[in-house]
Amino acid sequence: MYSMWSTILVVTHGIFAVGLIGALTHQVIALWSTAPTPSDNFFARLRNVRSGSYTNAVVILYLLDFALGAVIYATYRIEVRPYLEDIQFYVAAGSFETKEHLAALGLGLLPAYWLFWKAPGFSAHGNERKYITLLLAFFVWWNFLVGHILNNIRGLP
Amino acid sequence: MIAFWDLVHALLAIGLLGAVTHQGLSVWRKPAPARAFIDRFRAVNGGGYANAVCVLYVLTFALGSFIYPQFVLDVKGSLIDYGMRKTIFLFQLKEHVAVTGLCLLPVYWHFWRTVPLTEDVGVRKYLTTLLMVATWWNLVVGHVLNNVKGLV
Amino acid sequence: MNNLLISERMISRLIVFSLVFPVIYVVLYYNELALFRFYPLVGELHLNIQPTTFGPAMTYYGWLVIAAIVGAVVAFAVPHRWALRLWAGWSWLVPLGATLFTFIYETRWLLH
Repeated sequence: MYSMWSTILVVTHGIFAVGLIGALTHQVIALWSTAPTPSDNFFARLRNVRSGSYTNAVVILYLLDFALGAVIYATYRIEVRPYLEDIQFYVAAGSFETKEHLAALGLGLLPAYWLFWKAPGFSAHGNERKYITLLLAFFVWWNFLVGHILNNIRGLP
Repeated sequence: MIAFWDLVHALLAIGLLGAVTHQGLSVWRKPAPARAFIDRFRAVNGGGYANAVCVLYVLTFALGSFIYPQFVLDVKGSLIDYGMRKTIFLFQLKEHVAVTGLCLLPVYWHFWRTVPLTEDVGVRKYLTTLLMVATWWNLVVGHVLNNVKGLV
Repeated sequence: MNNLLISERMISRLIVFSLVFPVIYVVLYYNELALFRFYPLVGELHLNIQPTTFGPAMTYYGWLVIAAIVGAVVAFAVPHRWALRLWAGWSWLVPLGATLFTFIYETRWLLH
């Protein structure tokens, strides 16, 4: 039988991830595009954002999303992973392993990410800021896609 | 392959959710300097989102319609077998809300793109809010259903 | 850039933490070294490996806790002047290396 709580937690985890994807994608696109030019075009506005203003929101959303993911991980471990192994769907089980590792690496990256955006004296490190943000965005996108596919294969009861 | 289309459906829905939420919150915002993150989130030029919202809505709806038969075969049948009537009720609402949103699109587009933004502010506000709520409802219910039984 | 009230010493500690954490984390999962294991079936934490009746063991939380503790200890132990000499590029090269290693390591699932 499906428990209300794991459903609520996994949906909330997904919604936080959506917010995180939105914020980081805006930030990455803004970082990698040329100087903003005023335009009414939808894609121009997608990149004409004050990218620095997303930093605190990204850190908070990442921590919340990570915490929720860590809570529901236990249910995944007893309900989903054995099922994947039983049906010999090792690629799916392995994808989750990469998801858990990237989530942890992203957590370790957060202090540096925050510093390169917010700390005084770091404004000259444009390249480091770019690559760290890109790496974090990659983690979040990868984890979201893998999470969605795994949820398709078998949800949390 | 159905899992791939389901994923694309979800990604389009996320784009739609972002656009319509920016716009939906912007219509309720009183003009003031945006300092906090949520204020900056709302301080957007709402009119610029109308075309993107329409295009994303139609694409998301089209893909949803495409994967629907598989859902009926694989998921709805299981839900009936499990006796999960509340979950079926949620999906039925999702389906009707999605159609209602589709019907709203022409009038929504009209009030954003052809009516001057200084006129009919209230109509624009409630239409956009309705579309925003519909999109959120459908995304959350879709996520819940996918968790109960996904399309593989 | 915001002019935040954060000391240079704290900045260098945070940078060192971000450099040490991924290295320690990778070493831990590669060697299956966990401070403790969580058994979700019975909802218990144990320092030692338990019999199979306890269900599957989770080492993830144990890796995270050790990586965070070691990262914090090293961040506070490294002298400030040493931390200042670090090349800024390590801040993304080290996690990138850990990411690439992770993808290579997890290909073991494809070899089943």
